[in-house]
Amino acid sequence: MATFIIGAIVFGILALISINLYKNRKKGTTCGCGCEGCPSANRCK
Amino acid sequence: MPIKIALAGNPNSGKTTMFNHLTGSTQYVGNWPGVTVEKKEGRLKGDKDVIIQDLPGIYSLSPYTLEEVVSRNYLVNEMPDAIINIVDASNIERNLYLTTQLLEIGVPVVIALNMIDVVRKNGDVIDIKKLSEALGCEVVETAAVKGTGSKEVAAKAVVLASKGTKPSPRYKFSDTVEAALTEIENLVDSISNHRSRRFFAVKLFERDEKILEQLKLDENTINRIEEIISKVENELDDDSESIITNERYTCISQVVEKSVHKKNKSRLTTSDKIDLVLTNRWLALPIFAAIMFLVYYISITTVGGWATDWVNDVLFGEIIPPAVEGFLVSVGCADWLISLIVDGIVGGVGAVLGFLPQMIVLFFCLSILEDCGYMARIAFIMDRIFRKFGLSGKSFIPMLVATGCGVPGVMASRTIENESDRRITIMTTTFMPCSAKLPIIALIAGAMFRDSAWVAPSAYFVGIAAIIVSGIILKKFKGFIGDPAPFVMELPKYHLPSPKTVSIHMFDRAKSFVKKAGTVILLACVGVWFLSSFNWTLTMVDAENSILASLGKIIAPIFAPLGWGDWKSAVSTLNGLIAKENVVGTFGVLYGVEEVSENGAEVWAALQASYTQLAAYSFLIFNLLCAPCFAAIGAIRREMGNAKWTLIALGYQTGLAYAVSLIIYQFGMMFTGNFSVIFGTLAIILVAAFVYLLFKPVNKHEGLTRKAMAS
Amino acid sequence: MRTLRAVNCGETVKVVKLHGEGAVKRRIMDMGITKGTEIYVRKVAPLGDPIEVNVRNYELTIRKDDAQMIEVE
Repeated sequence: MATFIIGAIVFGILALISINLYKNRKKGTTCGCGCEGCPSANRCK
Repeated sequence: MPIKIALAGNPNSGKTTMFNHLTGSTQYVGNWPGVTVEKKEGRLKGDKDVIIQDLPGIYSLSPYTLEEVVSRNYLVNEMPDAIINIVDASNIERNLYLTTQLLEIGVPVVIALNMIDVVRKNGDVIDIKKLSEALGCEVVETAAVKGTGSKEVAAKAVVLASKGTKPSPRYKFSDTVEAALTEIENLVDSISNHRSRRFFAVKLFERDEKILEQLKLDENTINRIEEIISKVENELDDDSESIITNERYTCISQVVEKSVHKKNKSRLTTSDKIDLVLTNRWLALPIFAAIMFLVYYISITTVGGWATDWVNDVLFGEIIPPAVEGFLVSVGCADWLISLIVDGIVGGVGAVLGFLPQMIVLFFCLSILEDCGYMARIAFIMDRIFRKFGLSGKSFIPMLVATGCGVPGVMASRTIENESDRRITIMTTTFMPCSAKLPIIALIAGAMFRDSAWVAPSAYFVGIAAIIVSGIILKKFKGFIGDPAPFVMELPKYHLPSPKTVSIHMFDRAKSFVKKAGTVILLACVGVWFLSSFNWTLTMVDAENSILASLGKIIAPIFAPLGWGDWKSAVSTLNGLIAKENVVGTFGVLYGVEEVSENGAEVWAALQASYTQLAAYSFLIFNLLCAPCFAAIGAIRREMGNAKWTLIALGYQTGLAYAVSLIIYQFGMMFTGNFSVIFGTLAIILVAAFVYLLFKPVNKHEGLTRKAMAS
Repeated sequence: MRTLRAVNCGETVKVVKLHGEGAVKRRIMDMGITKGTEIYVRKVAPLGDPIEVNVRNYELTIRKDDAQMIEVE
């Protein structure tokens, strides 16, 4: 049971991160390095 | 329809600070020309219907630099509703030069007379009313650093945008030139009724090729224009471009004379006094070396180093992993999930996150140097050296930035006008050990060389040497031979770094570092964990029998001549392409699986067991010089502009890395009496090739261009 | 013909004419070095090149090779 719950949480988070990375990349707000905060983020397409 | 307002001004005029004030975004403010290269948008604070468009910092609207072309294309073709022109009041003459060009576009202009506080402090007086009358547009006093005046400027710009009042400057060029311009305006139908007709007329008069192309004039008209131009050129004995520039500055001098009252002309400002010391003929180089040493001493060796040690050894060694593992065991989690969380996620991400304190301190120091104005001086001091290698002092800035991250480093190369210089800079910038490579250096230095003091500096030395050698060698190849680049650069006034700017900059970079650890690296670590914990039949096995091991063993032989042909190193190196921190993260996962007790020193022990010092150093050098991470590769692709040059760059980097590592390892082996016939010979041949290319006389081509320049 | 290259530190000179053409010349002029402008040569970089000059009340650095294009009196 514990395995199932914790496993679900872990994989849920992993999936979320992947989806977000993919989305941002499509939108062009990040270069895929995750650096939206970086001064040249808008050039990362 | 939202109102569009463009923000234009010289570099170092406080444009970025103003942009932040207007839009509330936190963008980093730097101090050398060209930090904001691409246009940046934001919505006006308190009025969502107004879009503020930040343009690159430029000195002119000439066709010769990327930034200037981008800006003028935007202003002329996309037609913003108004322009806010930021003018550094303490450097008014040169700043108004751009203003005279902006006024010609025919879009309403508001001038933000920035840094007015500095002017007042110097005891100078600027008559706003007279200035406004002469320029034929509104002028508002601002002090962007303190945040005063920005709101008024924006409010005026919004009003002007809705009215659409064109600026009507009072100053006039000399009669001959004015007559010629009017003639051109009337001659070309396509511009006679254009709202930017004055702009087009001036550009046609300057024989601006980009505008000529855009207007697609027929031959007859072009000939007529040429007649008009040559007549004026003969009369004034100068070329048309220079005539216009001269006219502009003459007008500005008249405007400034009427409206600006200088208290004292030749007085040494505080900035000048600081400069007397920092760029002193004898002191400059020692001070520069001392500053760079201090930066790295503070961030790598002492303050940052201590904090990193604590995070690595205590936080991610003794506290978090046992706690997490204890909890998971107590709730009865399956073994594979415990392994995933403790070895894969905590181990891998922790190994990378451990270097955050060092990064923060390093970013802090570098952003102080950038913000106070010292970076431009570095270019001034270093230009002579860099030119020897066929680069300019400007190449130093990307390289310095690259010590933080290769991505902005590669992008900073845009300030280099000369194409071949820029290409070489892009190709070589990532040789500089970036912050993500520091963990690799720290790991190898700590594990294999007992924190020996020479390893980290030697990494920088190798990076710089690679840049120098590449500069010399590449300049001898076709495609890199070009005219020497102009090196004409403003040295901005020194000022106290603003805590806000420095902290924003530091925080942004730290944030991106953490974000990277929490996203890309986390995913990569999980991936590596999976591949290294399972075999092809998806049963859990030791790392030695895993999928990763079998894949690694295929590519590992490639690296055997470099001394580290085991699959773990090969896999780590490949993982470094995702992000360089991953090399360390992968080690964490790969060796963590073997050794159950989670302690940094355990990985050290494992490393010591599987490497000789020589092989470790060769591994380090290869990882420092080879193709950078995907993010930086992307940056290279963008800046190079085409796939061919990107591939050349990556091929060169990886090839050089391989050659240098091979030479280091094989020569090291020779000295310890283990001469390998094939690879030892290859190493000797490679050294000979390097020496030949270094001292090979310069190609005929260059001699020709030099001569052409001289005549 | 005397050029900016030959001017000593601490001297103030007046620009007579700009030689050369294209991007370099335009750049120099854009930065405010035009006919009749006064230039004060402030210092030489530690390694002998480039030079730092004061023109129109701000500091500009320029290489000696480019300075050679600027004729002064």
